[in-house]
Amino acid sequence: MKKFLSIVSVCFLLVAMMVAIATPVFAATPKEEILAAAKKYFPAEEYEKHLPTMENVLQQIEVTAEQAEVVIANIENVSKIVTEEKGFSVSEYSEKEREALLKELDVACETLEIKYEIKPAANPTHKGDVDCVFIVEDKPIANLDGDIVKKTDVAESTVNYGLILVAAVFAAAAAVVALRGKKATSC
Amino acid sequence: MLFPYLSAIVAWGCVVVLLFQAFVMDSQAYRLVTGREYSSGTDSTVTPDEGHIPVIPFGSQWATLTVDGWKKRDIKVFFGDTGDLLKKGAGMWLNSRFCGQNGKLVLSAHVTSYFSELETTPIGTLITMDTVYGKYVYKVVDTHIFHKSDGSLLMPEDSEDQLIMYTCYPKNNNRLPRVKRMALICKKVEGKEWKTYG
Repeated sequence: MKKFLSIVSVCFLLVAMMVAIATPVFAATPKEEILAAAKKYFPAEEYEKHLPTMENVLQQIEVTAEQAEVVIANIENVSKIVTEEKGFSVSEYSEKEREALLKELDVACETLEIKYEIKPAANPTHKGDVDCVFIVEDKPIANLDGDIVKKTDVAESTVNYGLILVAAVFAAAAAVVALRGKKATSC
Repeated sequence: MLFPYLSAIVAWGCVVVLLFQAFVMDSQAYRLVTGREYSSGTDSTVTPDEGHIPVIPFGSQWATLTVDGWKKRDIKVFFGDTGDLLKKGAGMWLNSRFCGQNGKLVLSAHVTSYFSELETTPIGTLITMDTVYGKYVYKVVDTHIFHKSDGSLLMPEDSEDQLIMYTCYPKNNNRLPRVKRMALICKKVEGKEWKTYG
């Protein structure tokens, strides 16, 4: 009996040691926890559709466990407003719901020390297009403009051609006047 | 007779402005919509999680792209595809994956400049991405023409490492607006795999 109890105790101690050592390896990082919460709470289609953006933003910032906890709570609150049918289309939600969503975004950004600015689009495709730029320590970490397919045939700047034309015209005019002046004096 | 002198001053002034635009503004640090400068490469103080690619700041150049058979070589590839970035090279869509992340990397560039040779690129062409964390090679397996309102081809699909390069179509449009885009669909043939969170 004594031998049996000793063997069981040793086994128990071995397992406890393994768990203690292995736990840090299996513990999720704060970023992983945030994304796991997004996977759990957001509509599946929206999660899959926006996962690269979420990862590409998170990879640029440091996130502590405490910050992750707050952001996960925001995600949970957002999930109470967002529905599978409406998804992430802001226009589908009422003014009150949009305000509530914006409030959660403000809290999440403040927690992660991210600022955001909404400005008229630098290269608008439609009237009223805006760019939403997320900034950390004065450096942009993301620019969301709502356009999946970009404008890739912007004409070359006409300013350069205009300047060339102006320069050529004035140079030619100066040359003509100078030549006429020389002819007059040589006659 | 001040006119010739004034004309010469104006002409030279235009030349100086042109040179300034060509050499000084182009070599200036990149300015996004907020007017802030961009950094290049991986000069970030953030430590990546283990097994993940190095941190690449938004707006930075993280690779060069070379397509076999193209005259343009070593096209700069930036993280982000804002209008300013597309003036300098190819832009990576924020909602796409980096090379080696087992997903879709979506690059766009202007048909009048960096991707001017895209339309005539044959299937089977090899494309090399020299990234800040290693070399990747892709092979063109298909082409696709789509309307600018249809972004379905570009949507994330984390099943295999793909490269989608697209630009306006057709290249010769007789000055008419281009409402279509042409994409090269490419599969990875060489390059290291990295972890993602999803």
